[in-house]
Amino acid sequence: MNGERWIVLVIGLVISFIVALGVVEWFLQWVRKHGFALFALYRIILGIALLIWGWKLTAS
Amino acid sequence: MIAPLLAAARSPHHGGFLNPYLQSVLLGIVEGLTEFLPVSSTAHLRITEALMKIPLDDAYWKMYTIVIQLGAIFALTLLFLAASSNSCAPFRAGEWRPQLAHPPHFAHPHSIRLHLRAFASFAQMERPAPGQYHRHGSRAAHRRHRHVGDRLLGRSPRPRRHRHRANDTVPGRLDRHLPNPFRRLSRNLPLHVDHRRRSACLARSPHRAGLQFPALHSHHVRRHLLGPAKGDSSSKAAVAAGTAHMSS
Repeated sequence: MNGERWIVLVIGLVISFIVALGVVEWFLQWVRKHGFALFALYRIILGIALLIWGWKLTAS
Repeated sequence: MIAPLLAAARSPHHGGFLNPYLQSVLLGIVEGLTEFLPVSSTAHLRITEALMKIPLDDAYWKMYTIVIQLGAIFALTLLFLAASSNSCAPFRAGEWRPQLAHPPHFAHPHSIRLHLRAFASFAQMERPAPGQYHRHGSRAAHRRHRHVGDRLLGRSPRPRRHRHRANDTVPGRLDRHLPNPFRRLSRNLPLHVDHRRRSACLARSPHRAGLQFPALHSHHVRRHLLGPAKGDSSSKAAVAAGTAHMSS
């Protein structure tokens, strides 16, 4: 752990803190309106994409 | 859209794909976005790292991936600080506002009740359907949960197998079935006996501390928490008697 790595870690912490502060409120509103169905769709698509990607990686 | 940005941020001296500070910013954004969405934030971080050609088995980056989740979680504690301190407020009111005590030997009327009710509904929810016990943990644990839930919700208790000890803490029989943290909590709940704040433990067995006031029994507490039992016409008189008993 040199100085650069500590700084990188702190940047990640602070940014995730700030982004999460904004996202939680917004997300609660969003879910009240739209529900969870879109997330299900997103997860299915991402899962298939990852499977294909992993399959290609192992094949190559 | 992102590709030229990535190209601009490329740093020649670094083994990875990007300047690590920018990588960290991107990962922080990904983490902040995904932690509270119903998707796996760790998976998204790792996918992003893989896309940025960060070695996934590198010890530092593994640590980084775990530790920055703390940032997002701290945001949640900040946002819900008010709500969570509210949920503790009834206990504080019970301790610090004895003038609200009703009847006088108990703390704030709604403080303990609300929390125990919440616990009771939790205990009831934990119950699996008959025949499903083997799937969800031990039978004894479920018997305990069911018993606590029944007692708190004022249902008729099922037959018990064990005798309770005579000098248990205030909730008495109830207490014996609570998991340890709840047990400790219930022992230290503030009660007002003779207009003085006592711990529940002391109120239950004052003789241990060399005090003279009569012991508070579990049925006092139970009646106070649950109201008069069904078909118990004498309960109001009993509570009044208990009150007189306490302040005498």
